[in-house]
Amino acid sequence: MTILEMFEKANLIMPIEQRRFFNYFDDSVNELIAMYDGFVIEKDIEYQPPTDLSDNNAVLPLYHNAIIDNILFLSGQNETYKGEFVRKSRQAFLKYWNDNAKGRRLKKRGEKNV
Amino acid sequence: MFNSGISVKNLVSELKQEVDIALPISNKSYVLWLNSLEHFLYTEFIQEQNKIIVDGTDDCIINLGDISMPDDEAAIRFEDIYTVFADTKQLIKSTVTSGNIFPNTFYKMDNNLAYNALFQPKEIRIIYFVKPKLKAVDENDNIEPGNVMLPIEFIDLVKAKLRGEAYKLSNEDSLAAKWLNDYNILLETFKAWLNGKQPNFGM
Repeated sequence: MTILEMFEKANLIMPIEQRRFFNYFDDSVNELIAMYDGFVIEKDIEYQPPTDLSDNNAVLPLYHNAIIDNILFLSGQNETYKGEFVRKSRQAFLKYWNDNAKGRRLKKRGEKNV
Repeated sequence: MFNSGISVKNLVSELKQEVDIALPISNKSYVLWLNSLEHFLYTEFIQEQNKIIVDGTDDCIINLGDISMPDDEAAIRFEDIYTVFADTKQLIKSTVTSGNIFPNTFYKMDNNLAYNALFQPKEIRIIYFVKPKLKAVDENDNIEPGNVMLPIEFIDLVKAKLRGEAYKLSNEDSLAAKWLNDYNILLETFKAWLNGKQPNFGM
């Protein structure tokens, strides 16, 4: 989703000003980076907090719905949204982690990597 | 805006014939109460939005008195402003203190709109709550042309309010209380009616 699409989704639940949205978006991304660093931002892109609805969204796609839930929680919605943020972000992380680990296997002692 | 189609002159004339008080009340008083009621309902409950686009200024102050309004609308006050966009960026309403520190804010300065934007915007879009133009009375107490700008379904709300104010001014307290109570009940009905017509999405 683009930043604008995420803003629209959040506004469908409750109206929120742009500035607050960008602040909560940045808070959510930082929280994700703290939990799952290395599996949150698109490869080779440096994350910059958005300041405009037309800015590029550097966060990996599967985290987007989780971020929206956290934005709604931070905007005053109930704690269910926080729970959903934690659940969805965990699922997204596991998917990306598994995708990254495909084709690799653990080496046994003394065995060379084939 | 709503337009009942009922002229203010006819409404006031009808009420004057009906309101049973010894002391005559001027058209000016009726029009003052009507203007006050309309503005109160529009800013508090109806909250119909409109937008005006002005150019960004070097000193970052927009003189609200200089803005040219549509014919049927009253002039904008800072308090009528809902939100402001500098080009595509939404500014947040703030105070003079914070507005001087933080960018992307707008605040009230001497009854005008001042803003603090990171980059000089090409245009400033002001989204505000509309209010109908104030009805006027000339020096001979004649009401100038204009309609009651509220839904026809709630014209009784206007009448109840004007009757209540007239009786209150004449010290007829029990009649004033009766009509103002009627007005309060109709106001709740009006609020419920408006609720059903609110947009489903957005600020």
